[in-house]
Order: sequence, then structure tokens, then C-alpha cells
Amino acid sequence: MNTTKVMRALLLVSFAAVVALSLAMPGIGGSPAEAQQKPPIKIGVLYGLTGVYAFPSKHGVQGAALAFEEANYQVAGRKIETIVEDDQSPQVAVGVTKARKLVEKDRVHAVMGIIWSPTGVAVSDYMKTVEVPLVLTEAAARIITQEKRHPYVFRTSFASGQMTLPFSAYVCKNLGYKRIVTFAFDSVFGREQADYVAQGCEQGGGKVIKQLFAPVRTPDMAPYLAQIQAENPDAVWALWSGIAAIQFLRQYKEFGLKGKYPLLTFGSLSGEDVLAQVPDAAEGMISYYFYTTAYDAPENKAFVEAYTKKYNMPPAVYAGQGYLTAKVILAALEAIKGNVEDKAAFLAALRNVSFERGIRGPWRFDAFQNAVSDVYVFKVERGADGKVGHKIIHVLKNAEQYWPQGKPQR
Amino acid sequence: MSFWYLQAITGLSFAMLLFLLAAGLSLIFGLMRIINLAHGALYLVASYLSLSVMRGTGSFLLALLVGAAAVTLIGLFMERRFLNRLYRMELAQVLLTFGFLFILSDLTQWVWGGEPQIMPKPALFAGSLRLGEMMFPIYRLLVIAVGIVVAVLLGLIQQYTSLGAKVRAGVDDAEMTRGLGVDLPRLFTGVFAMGAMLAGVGGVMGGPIIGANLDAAFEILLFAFVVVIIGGMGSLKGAFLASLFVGLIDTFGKALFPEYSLFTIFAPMAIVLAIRPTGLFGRT
Repeated sequence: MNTTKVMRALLLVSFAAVVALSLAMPGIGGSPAEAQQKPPIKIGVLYGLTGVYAFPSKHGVQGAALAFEEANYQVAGRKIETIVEDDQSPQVAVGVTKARKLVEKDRVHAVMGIIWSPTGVAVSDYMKTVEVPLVLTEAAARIITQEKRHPYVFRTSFASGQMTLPFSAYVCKNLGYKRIVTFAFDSVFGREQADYVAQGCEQGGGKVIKQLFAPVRTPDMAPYLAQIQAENPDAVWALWSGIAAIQFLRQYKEFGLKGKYPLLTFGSLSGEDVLAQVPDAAEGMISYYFYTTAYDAPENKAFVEAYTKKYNMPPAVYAGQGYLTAKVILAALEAIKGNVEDKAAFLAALRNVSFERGIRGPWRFDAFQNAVSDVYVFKVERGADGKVGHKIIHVLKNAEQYWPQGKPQR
Repeated sequence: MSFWYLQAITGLSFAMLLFLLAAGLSLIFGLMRIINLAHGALYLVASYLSLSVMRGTGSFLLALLVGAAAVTLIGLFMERRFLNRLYRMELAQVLLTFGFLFILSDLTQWVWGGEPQIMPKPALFAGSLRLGEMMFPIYRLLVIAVGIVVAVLLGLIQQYTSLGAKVRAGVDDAEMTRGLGVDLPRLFTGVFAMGAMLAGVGGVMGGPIIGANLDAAFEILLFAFVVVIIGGMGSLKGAFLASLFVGLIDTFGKALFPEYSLFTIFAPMAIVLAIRPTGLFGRT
């Protein structure tokens, strides 16, 4: 009996408290509309925090947070608020649901993030219908900024072939590899990349003699490695990521392919997560990506230092992307003095963002709102400190999504 | 020529890993009629634990012991505390093991994080052997040896000990076995714990090849289920032969017809099931 009474009293008191609080809360009704009092600018940050992309996503979110923090979460005197959501990629439907939540419930002014391409495609379609800008950090599916492009989607990373085409032309022409075997995971992305190698290499005077594909989750690479040996190529090009990348590099060495066939790899195989686990197996391979912590510029050095200090770990490439993308958004917001409600101006400002210098060197959007930037070709080498890292051997200048045919005339 | 040897060794080592997983799965199912979906999670826990032990102490043997012992305990706990209350309630059991799968795999994510990790090899077996034109890692031979030793031990136990006789009787007819005075609940606990231990050994042995990783664990569990289905539930001999079959077919299939890598596994399974719905050595 007694407890029921107490409970009821508690309930009443807390109800009263809630009512009082909500009445006392300022800002909802009629505060003055001067710049200082404007509601915060809200940015949705969408990453696959759990699941396959947990590791890169953690870095992406941390990189973005660092950039916003450097700006004190403020632009032109107006506060910036970020809302982080988990798209649980590769679950595309969850990604769209989370984007909806950010737009419809949180009322964000822009969304950034997304690593997994299919999620990127789906969310981009959705953002088109609600007319809210989406700035993709990875999601490299070509169509997003080509056939399916629209004014609200931007991409700061690259479109599928943007790096692989110029890279394979370069290695076949300049490094003298004429017969190449490609080995990639079996997905749209993997097959596209392998075809770009074939295309690029042909332009460089070489040839892809065999394309091998294995399921994304392949417990054991050994059967494929024997295949590669049977072909006896000049060099092997490989695309794997995460645990599979580690497995691949390790077995490549164990089965004696390392040293026999030079290894050319997509940047996902030379990421910090991979190098930390199999430094010996990775040493000596030639890799390429649009960002490397080894890029020698004061902005990049400062970023690597600040990031390492704040999070107690060196940044992965995804961290650089989170950071750069947040910087792009901040630059656009700065240009419009934080007046994000003027959507046309905000979009125009985003399109016009360009950096003369930065963690990736010169950087800008093309007419299709996809990034144009340098691609770094680097060798994985043991540095003076005994740690394995990147050493840039060549820079493919201003790579863009329609390389080398040039932009289609429209 | 060495191409074929190389593939055979690869296939055999993969087959032995499958056997370690499938043997436990098959025995548990045959005797207790429990589809233990948490089997892959046990494998996962063992591979992560042994990874930590290996990093900490550098001793592979210790890693193997700790990994196997820990999941044996988890298996005991699962069976004693939960599963034995649900005897004969198949749906509830499947749900329960499914729940354990989530809890255990989330726990490993929580403790070890989402970063991909591969276990270092024991120093003694870290190198590679040259075979004609090609090289292959010595560790694979160790995996094959461990698999064969475990298979022989299990076979001997099943064939020549009273414990083995009881298990065989239980698989054939649980009610009759109980009627003859065999303490079935205790037998169940023992077999479940042993199955967990085998999954643990598989997790540790597979660590350097397959790695400690959620996806890989599920992938190999899928293969283990294929083995159990082909071999027939509850049959050790079936599990062993089906492991060889699946391991070799998978390896040679991938090497010869890389475009059809999943097909080469599931097509034979479909054919076996069409001819013998209970699997090669299963009882009707």
C-alpha cells in the first residue's frame, strides 16, 4: 500500500517537473532571431560503426570530429552540431532508414559519410527526393557522380576507375610490366576495378593475361595463389580489404609468390590496419591511393600529429577522408556565413570549395561534384625507425573520374 | 605437377579444420538433436582468446590449451545452465543457441574490437617448404597432423571405450539407451562440452590461416554445416570423410573453376542429398 502511494507521488512530481521544464525551456518559441541565437547548424555523420566497416568507420568519425573541433564547432558565430548514426553497412536498408531519421527527425542541413557503395547509391537517391546535400566520404560506385548524379550529391573521394586507370597505365608503361594477373574480390567494385586495370594496362602497352575473382569472404586464398603461379606473370595486381587483405598478403609470402611476382595493390591493402599486422609480407609492394599519411606537406603532418595525439593511434586513410570532408563542409558554410537555410547558396558554395594545399594536396570538385585530386603511387618500405610505411615514388596529377577520355560534352 | 601437390596439401589442411568444427557439430546433433548455432561463436571466442594469449606469452601450446579450455567451459555452462532445461524442445533450443551466437560474437567485438586480426604462427612451424617450383607453409602440415590425430583419437574412443559405446547407443536410440540405465543428461553434458572443445581447437588451429574474424567464422561454419549434412548427422566417420570431400572439392574447384567457387560446394551437397537424404553415413 505504502509503496504504491510513494510511487504515485513520485510520478506526479516528475510529471510536474517535466511540464515546468518544458515551459521554462527557451528557444522553441520566440527568441530573437539575431545570428547569435540562431539554432545550430546540424550535420549528420553516417558511418558503418558496427559490422564489416567498424574499423574504417571509427577512423572516419574521429577524423570528422577532429576537423569540427578545430573549428570549435562553430562557423560565422553559429554553432554546429553533429549527429552520428550507424548505417550498419553492408545493410543498405538500414543506411536509408538512418538517413531518413537524420533528415526527417533531426532535421540536419547536410549528411556526410558512407563507405559502402550500395548504401551510397541508395542514400543518394533518397537525398535527391528530400533535397538535402549529401557529401560522400568513400562510396566509390561510379554511377553516383555519373549516370545517377544530381545537384545534392557530392563525393570527396573518387569514382571507381579514377585511381586504377591512371595507375595501371603508369605501371605498364613506366615499370615495364607487360603480363599482369589481377586478383580481386568478386563484387561489382572488384570486377570494375579489374576491368580498369585491363583498360589502363593496355593503354600503357601491357596486357592482363588473367582475371581471378574470389568471394568477398574467402576463408583460404591458397587455391587462387596456385593459379597465379601457374600463369607466371610479370606482376600481380590485387584488391582486397580488411582481414582478407591480411590473409592474402601473408599467404602470398608463405606460398613463395612474394619476391617472384612483384605485387601491385589497391590502397586498401596498404592501409595502416593491414601494415600493422603483416609488415614483412607487405614490404616491397607498390600501392596507390588518393591519400597517404606519408604525403609531405605541413597540413598533413599537422593532421597526423593532432590525430595521433587525440586518439592515441595513427590515422587510417578513412580518418583523412572524414577530416577532409568535414573541412569541405566547413569551408562551404564559412563562404555563406553560416546561412545554411539558403539552400541554393549552400550548394553553390559546396561546389566551389577547393583547396590549394591540404592533407591530400590540391583538391577540388569537378563539374559533376566528384573530387579531382592527385593519386599517390607509393612503395611499402621499412623506414629508419624500423616501422613499415609508405614512400611516395610517383604522383599521378589531378586524376579525375573521366580519365583519360576527358569530360563528356553535355 | 607440384601444382597438384600444393593444392592437395591446401585442400587437406582446410579439410582438417572443417573436421574439427564438424565433428562436434555432428556429434551434438546426432546425440542430442540440438542444432548448435553457437558453434561458430565458440570457434570465434577460441581464436580471439588464443590470439591474446599468443601475443602475451608467445606460446602457441599455451594458447591452444587456454583457447580450448575456455570454450569447453562455455560449452559446459551453456549445457548445464540452459540447454538441459529445454530437452526435446527443438525450436527453443535453436533460438537459445542463436541467442548465444549473438551474445558471444558481440562480446568478442566488445573485447577485441572490429579490427581484422590474424594469429601469428608458432615459431617452429612458421617457415615454408620448397616443393619443386612452388612453396607451401609448414604450418599446414601441422594442421593436417592435428586433424588426423584428433580423428584417430575420437575414433578409438568411440569404438573401444564404454563411453563411446554409450554415445553410439544414444545416437541410435536415446530412449532405449536411457532405459538401459545410462545417465543420458550427463552424457549430453559431456558430449556438448567435447564438441565445444573441438570447436575451440579448430578456432586456435585455424587462427593463423583463417584469422580471428566474425565473417570468417560464419563462413567456415557454413562449410561445417555442409560437411555435417553430407556426412550424415551423428557419424564421426561421415564427418571425417565428408570433410575430406568438401575440403578437397572446394580447393580444387577454386583452382580449376574459380568462377564457380560456391557452386562446387553446394552442387555435390545437392547431389548427395538427392541420392541419400540422410547423408553418406546418416541413419534413417
